[in-house]
Amino acid sequence: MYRERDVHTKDCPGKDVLSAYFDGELDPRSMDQVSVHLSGCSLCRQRLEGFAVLRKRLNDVPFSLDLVASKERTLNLIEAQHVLRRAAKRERFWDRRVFIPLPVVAAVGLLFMFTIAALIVWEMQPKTVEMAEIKDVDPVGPYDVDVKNLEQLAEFLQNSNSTIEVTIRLPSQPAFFLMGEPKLLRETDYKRGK
Amino acid sequence: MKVRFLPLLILVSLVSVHGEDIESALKSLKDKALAVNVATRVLEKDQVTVWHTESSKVTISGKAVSLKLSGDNVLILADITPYMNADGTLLLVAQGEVYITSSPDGGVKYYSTMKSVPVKAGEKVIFFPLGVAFDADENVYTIEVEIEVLPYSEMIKRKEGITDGSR
Repeated sequence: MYRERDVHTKDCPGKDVLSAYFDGELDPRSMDQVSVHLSGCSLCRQRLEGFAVLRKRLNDVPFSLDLVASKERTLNLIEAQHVLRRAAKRERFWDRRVFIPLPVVAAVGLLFMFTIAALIVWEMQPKTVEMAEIKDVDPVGPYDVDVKNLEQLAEFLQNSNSTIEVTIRLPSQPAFFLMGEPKLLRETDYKRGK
Repeated sequence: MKVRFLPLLILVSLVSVHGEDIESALKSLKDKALAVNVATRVLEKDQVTVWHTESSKVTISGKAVSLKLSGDNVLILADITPYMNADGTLLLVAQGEVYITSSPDGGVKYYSTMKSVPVKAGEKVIFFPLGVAFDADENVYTIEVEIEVLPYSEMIKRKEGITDGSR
């Protein structure tokens, strides 16, 4: 025999179970168990009646569902959010992804490496001064000296104050250093010494 | 009073002189004239020539050919004097003065030297006014002045030979 209960106990089914029972969604065995419980529990019965009242009220409310308009609003909302997201991404340049073909990446890499190698080789080259070859060969005569006798010739030679001078401008680079005592060597001795 | 000659004017001239004595005197001078060929080079490591210039002057025995080499940090004055002996050999005397600035403060150093070496006519002599570095490091450059003294008559023959060869 069941005694009527006036408070919920741990044996009372929960709201979800009662709701499922009300909707007839429980399996037959569970339906029987809940039915047995309801026969002896006035609180659960009241709750079940509350479900019935709620359903009745919902059914009484005039409900018109405009699916087409709702769909339109939803799509518009999604589109608006998408546009906003794209705009936000466009502002951040560093977030943009750019597609570069692999051969292009490889070619750029090779070019970069070649440039670095060329710079290294160029730096390792000994610095040379600018090549120059200046031939300052004094032309050999003729000179016209108008003398009529030996006395005039001797006088001309004695009064002549010219010097035999060769002036050579050395290259501006490199800077020269004194490496030791000046030397005067026969070419043969110098080559033998080397 | 120091007597200065102008042999180069005489030796190579087609002078308009009159009289056999003048001609014989000129011939005598011409026979004693010497040609001084000077080739100046700047060498870098491994004796590679990076700069080169040549000059040729005519002088007589005992008269110096003055050589002036001027660079940004160096000034070299050299007097090259050939002395011809009776046997035809030469004594070459090189008197050099070097002014060089090698320090950052711009101080100038001065060196002077006098060297002599007996040579045969046409034998080349090399003068190193700043010394010579046989095992030069990189960026060390040597100034080399190659001097060749030979009788002027041989110089003329050599030139004529070149001219004939080029024809």
